[in-house]
Amino acid sequence: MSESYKILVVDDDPAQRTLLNMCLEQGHFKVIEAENGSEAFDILDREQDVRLVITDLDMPVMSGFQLIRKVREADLRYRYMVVLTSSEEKESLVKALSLGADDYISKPVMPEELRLRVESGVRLLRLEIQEELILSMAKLAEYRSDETGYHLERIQHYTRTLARDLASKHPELGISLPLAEEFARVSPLHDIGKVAIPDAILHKPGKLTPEEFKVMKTHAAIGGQLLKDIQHKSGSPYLKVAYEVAMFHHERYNGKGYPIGLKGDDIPVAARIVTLADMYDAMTSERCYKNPFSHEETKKIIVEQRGEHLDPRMVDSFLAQEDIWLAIADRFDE
Amino acid sequence: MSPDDNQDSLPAPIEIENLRYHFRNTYGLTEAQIKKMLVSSARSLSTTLDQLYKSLEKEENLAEITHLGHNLKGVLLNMGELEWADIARRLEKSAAAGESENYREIARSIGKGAEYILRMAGE
Repeated sequence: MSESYKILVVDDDPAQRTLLNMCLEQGHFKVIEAENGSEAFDILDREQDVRLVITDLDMPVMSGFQLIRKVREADLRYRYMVVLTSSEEKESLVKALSLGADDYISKPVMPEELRLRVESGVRLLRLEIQEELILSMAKLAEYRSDETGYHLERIQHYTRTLARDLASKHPELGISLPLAEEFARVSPLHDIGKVAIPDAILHKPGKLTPEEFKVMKTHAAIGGQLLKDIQHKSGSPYLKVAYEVAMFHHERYNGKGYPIGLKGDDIPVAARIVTLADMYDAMTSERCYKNPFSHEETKKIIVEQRGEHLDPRMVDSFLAQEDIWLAIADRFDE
Repeated sequence: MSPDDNQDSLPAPIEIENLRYHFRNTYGLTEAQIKKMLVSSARSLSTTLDQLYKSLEKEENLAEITHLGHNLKGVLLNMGELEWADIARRLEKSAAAGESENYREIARSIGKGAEYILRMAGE
């Protein structure tokens, strides 16, 4: 299951490195060795495909603690870090975990325990890869539509800005800061269902006929169903929020939206947030069928839709943070 | 602890055959891998004990003794020598606590107990 994973073993004791190397190679891992934290960090900086690290804590030059801190502070790919510790070193273990270690293994290392700990890491890294794959699908969907450039980046930033403000002002919405970040992460998936819309409709320069619009509207349910299916298979809470966003971002607060016609707080809060983010971006961007609206024109329409298309709390948050929205639009201008 | 007080309480010397058995049965190593581990363990033990002897010749540096005791413990644990690892652990803990001990004698006891395996360090 793990042929493609490289593991970095960091220990100043060559015998410990050799033993770990032999055990890990039995599991078909490719092992790279380093004798201290400094040497390990150089390897991680150079070799981005080394995703798992097993490190001792007490080492000369750079300790395992310093290595964990440096890896977590650096803007590197996520590394699953397991620390080697002995049973009586509880304080060291807590320190390592608080610095960002993912797991630990007690000395002397038992091969079966080592295998299970490493497989936990592989499972977590696989989930991350799945997440990256899904976001790549969103990019692919974006390339097919005319929403090129920084559309997805802007949506993410608008969503994050709105969700964070709502988290502090409206506790009844149940948005924590980590959840606000999750909303931002999944927001690029809102239009993933557009991959199923024919080119003739997706790229039509003029107004859609009622029949064509009916087809266009199916993208919400198609995207929602796709993500729901993946969510059922993976059990990922991340994809549950993604499903809600894709499925319900065309619902309206007054119940006149699609695909279901949900009303008010029955519409998932993540979808209500992305609705406003997407609306603002769609109106202020140029499309094959329209010129961009100015911020002021867009704002006027958004205010008119307060309590109609849009949740009033979302609109109030937008108005309170207009400068930030303008700065995002400016930063990701095409 | 002090090995001076009760030499009879020291564990039996480390036997190469016991190490072979340990590496074969605990880690599933092949004969070639076992040979490599024996040499590698011997070298680690030898290097650490040499550093410990040198450290003890100078004025006692408890932090260094703690570190070297920790390293000895790790090597001995991997060799399956739990009783000798426990002596190294007590050496580490005593030094960490700043206790007055006959560290030289403890180090010599470990060196004596590891006599056979240490002969492989030069291979």
